Amino acid sequence: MNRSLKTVIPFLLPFTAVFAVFLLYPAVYSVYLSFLKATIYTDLSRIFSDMKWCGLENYQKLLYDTNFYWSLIMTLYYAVLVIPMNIALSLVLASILSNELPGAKFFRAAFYLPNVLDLFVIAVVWTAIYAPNYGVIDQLTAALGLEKIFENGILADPWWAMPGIAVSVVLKGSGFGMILYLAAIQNIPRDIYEAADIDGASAWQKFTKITVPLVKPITLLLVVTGILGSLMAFSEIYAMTGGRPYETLPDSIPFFGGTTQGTTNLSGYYLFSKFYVAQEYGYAAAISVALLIISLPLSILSFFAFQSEGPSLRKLSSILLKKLRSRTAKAI
Amino acid sequence: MRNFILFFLIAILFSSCGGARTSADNEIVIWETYATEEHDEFVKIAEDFEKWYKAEKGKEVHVRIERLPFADHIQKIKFAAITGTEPDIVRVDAGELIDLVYGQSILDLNKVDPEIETYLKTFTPPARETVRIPLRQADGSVKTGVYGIPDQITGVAVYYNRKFFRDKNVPFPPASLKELEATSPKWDYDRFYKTAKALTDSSQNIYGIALNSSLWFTLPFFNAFGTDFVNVDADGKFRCTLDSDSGVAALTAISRLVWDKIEAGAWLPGALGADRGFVNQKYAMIISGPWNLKQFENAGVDFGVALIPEGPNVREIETPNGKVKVGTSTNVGGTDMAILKTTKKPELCYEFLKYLTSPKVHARWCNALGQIPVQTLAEPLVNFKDNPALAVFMEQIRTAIPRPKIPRYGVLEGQIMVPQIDRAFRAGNEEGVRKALQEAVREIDRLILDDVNISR
Amino acid sequence: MFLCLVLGTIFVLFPFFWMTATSLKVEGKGMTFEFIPKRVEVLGPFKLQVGTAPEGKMKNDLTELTSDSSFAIGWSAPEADGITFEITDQDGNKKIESPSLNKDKNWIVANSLPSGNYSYQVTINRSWSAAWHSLYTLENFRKIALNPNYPFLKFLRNSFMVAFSTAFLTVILCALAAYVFAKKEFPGKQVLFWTFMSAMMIPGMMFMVPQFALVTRFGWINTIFGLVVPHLANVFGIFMLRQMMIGIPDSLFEAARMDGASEATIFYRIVVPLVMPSLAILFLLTFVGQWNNFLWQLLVNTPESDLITLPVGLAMFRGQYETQWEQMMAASCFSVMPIVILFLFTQRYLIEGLTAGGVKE
Repeated sequence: MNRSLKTVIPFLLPFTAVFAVFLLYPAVYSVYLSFLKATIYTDLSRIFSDMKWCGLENYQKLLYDTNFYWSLIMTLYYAVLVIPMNIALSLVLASILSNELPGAKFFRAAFYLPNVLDLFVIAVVWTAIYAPNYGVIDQLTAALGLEKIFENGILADPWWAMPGIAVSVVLKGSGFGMILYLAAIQNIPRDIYEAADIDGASAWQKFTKITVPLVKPITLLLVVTGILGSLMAFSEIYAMTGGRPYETLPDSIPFFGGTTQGTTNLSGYYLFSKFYVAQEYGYAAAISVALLIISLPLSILSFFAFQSEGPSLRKLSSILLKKLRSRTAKAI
Repeated sequence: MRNFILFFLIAILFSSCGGARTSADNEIVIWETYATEEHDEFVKIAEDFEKWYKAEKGKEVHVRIERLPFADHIQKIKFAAITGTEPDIVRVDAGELIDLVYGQSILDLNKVDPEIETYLKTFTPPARETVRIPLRQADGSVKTGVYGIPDQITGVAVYYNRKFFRDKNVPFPPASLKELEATSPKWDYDRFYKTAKALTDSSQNIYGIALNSSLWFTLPFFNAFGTDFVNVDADGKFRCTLDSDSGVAALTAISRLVWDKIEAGAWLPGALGADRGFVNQKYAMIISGPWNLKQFENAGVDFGVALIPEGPNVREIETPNGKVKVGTSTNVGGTDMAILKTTKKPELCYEFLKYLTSPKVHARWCNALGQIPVQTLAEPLVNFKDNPALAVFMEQIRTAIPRPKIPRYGVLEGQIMVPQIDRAFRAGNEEGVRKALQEAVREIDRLILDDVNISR
Repeated sequence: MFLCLVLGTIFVLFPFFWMTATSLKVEGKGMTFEFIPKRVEVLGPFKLQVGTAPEGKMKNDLTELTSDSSFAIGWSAPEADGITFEITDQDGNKKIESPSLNKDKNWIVANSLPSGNYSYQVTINRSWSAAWHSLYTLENFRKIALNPNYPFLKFLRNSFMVAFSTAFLTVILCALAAYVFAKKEFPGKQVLFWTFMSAMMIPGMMFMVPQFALVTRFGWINTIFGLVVPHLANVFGIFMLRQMMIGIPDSLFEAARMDGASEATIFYRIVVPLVMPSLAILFLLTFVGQWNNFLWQLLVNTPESDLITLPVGLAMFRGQYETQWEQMMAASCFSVMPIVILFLFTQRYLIEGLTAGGVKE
């Protein structure tokens, strides 16, 4: 036991050192900040030292903040759309493009590239597609003689704006998931697939019974990253709709009744508006602590959901072992 | 691989250890966010200032200009204030200046020059107003200080597509205050409505007008109807009066265009914005500013610029041609140069700013860049003949009223006004507009004014 | 299925086409939907009233009064092949005039008309190359790359240095730590792991101020340390590499230890080659992340810094109200190019890492 500790330390030290200074300290500081409050007159040059301790006041305010809860609901809507679509698309693309199809290299590059584009370029392009009357979608439906799908464009419809954004986000982000899955699929030896072929498996069966289970670690990665990403997403909203369109909810709804809420207001965007726009640093810190309290259990749950040590993994291990044994022998 | 490591090591060697930068005794540091051509011109002015100062006062001074990209420059200034690495002068947007003033970073120029109000009278009134900011004091009274010198001013007016006007035989709207007085029928909101309606042609997918639901672009209409946004009452507290009858009338006049489908829906999220639609010749009229002049010209649009329609709030103003009664107004955009409180050379900074906005220097700037002068004494020296559209903006600015002088403009726009103006545009009747404005006032109180009105 | 792929690719590459097209457009036409240059352009009809100066002229319109009853109708279009003016009088009679280029390179025809209301329409004919040049140009790229105030190559070099160092060091740090989380047990492992993960659950913007304060206090403003070091502790990197590493069978390690290999050798010779594709991905990811990291680079660099990077330099083209779209798109093209090259380069590590060895035993 002791031996493993000694051997472990040199591996962990560099990362932990940087982490402690540049991530842990700021994180603790953020938590500390959530207990402070600044007034609008606080001297900027001494803002962090002049902020006064206010105990749980920020949290009390947060507890009754209808905008915050609404943003969480919208974030759920967003996550439910984006995460499954993203994983599905990435996995499908990766499995199609992992063999030597003609031009596979080109397709891989093509699907990855939207990931590196500046968000504003994407926003301008998608506006050109979604715009009412003049956008690509409306021009197409007009040319085909169909009725307009959305009277004012998809992004102006309160309940369909989110799916509209989700589509653009998935198309931008799936390239990244695709290359992760590609790497994972490369690790699956051809032998397994060939064995399945001999047993007469169809492409669909090979996909669901071999590929999907064996890339579970990556799926877990994408799910957790997806959850965290949804909770913290703001630049997509900032570039495309800025939280609009707004709906004034009918008075009959409890708690939210009568308030005007943005239907694309995500929790990350709400935090952004409190931090950057309103400069309420203490309140923003309280929001980020709340988000932490929400994301931590969700992530732990995901870990439990996706842990797999099925028999197929053992089969994979034995095959890998044989192959790499020879490599190891060469190396040592 | 080895080459890279070498490269990296050399990079380390060459990197200095930084630390706080202090400017030398006779040097002032300016952070500006000008566009490229403006920046080049500004550098020349700084050099001239150094020469002039040497000739006048016999001392060597240096003006160090540091250029920031406009995006996120306020964050950078705030972070610099937090860590004590600010420059001497910054150029900021008029709305952001208020936040910096509340954050106690900006020097009140009354302290440098007690006669500054007199000097300010040489500036155009709207520009002058952007630097006079009322602050609540510890004893509850409200004092107005002067927190900068305006260096650039801009506003909006009506761009219209002349081809569409000619096709439908609609007379062009007035382009100057004299024309505005003489035109018949009056260029008011009734005629505005009728003009836009005549120009809307659904068979060609052309709309008469395109609007924007942000406060920035609707303030001209509130101004035209005489709505006072924020008042300071007897207790020294700030009160918002946006939901007054004039406010409701203003917003209804505009919303009617949306309700009757004369407006193109450009205010909707994801729709083709006003500028983009105008340059593609889909919108007959838009509300926009002089920054689009070049783009529209180069794109070959046959356009003209006219004044914002008149509302009932008729005021009398002084113009070079005598007194005129007008009800048209625009919002004021533009920037101010502010001196930071931590500067060690306030007088030198002030001298530079005075030089920058002196008539001859400023006129040279405006002529070189095609901009509207902030300094009234510079006006006769500025050439508007080659740029008649700019002259219209100049006329429009004469009656401009600056934005409400409260902090957190970003919150006011994004979280409060845009949702409520959206709501008004969807309301369909005046009652809905009233409700929207009432909620706006409640939110303004909750998110901004309650914090402003606390006792310090 | 192949068809789907092709369609998908077109859809997904559409932003790139748009970006490139806009960056090639002549100033002012960036935001128009015009993609095919017009060989024939018809402008007008413009009103003309004998006795009054023409109202509301376009920029190139040279029409003016020559006397009380005479007009000179003119247009400035030196690049055109030919121009015709169609003059209509109030009864609807039309007259066509085809002037030629005069010595000032303008098309002018002098007319004498009786009083009344007229209108004129201008038809401009251009050759293919003239039409092409009226819409597309390389000027935007030239303006950015060759602007004397803009050490564009220096920005590129700085961005590359920052992105490369960050990516390289991040991969090393994360690989070392991820190995330990994937394959070893030690006291406090779960606690440490979830502490790391929690840091990922706080939005990045909250870290900005404390990190900036630290960097200032260490004196790292304007240095490469300030730009690189705060981003080295990439928790996502550890997470991802851990996921990739847990698939490695334990028997491998036992075998190696029986053969007497040290921990370092095991890591270097077994683990690293096996997860090379993932290392390449992490490298790529960090590189791209740092390449586009505008805000941090803006904060840590003061304007006179030698280490100003590409995003900050390119942001100079975004003004307060107007955005010079054409130049901004050209700038984006420049920015994206190196990443495309890097991706094509790392595809080698990505795909050929393991399978090239041959799996059939």
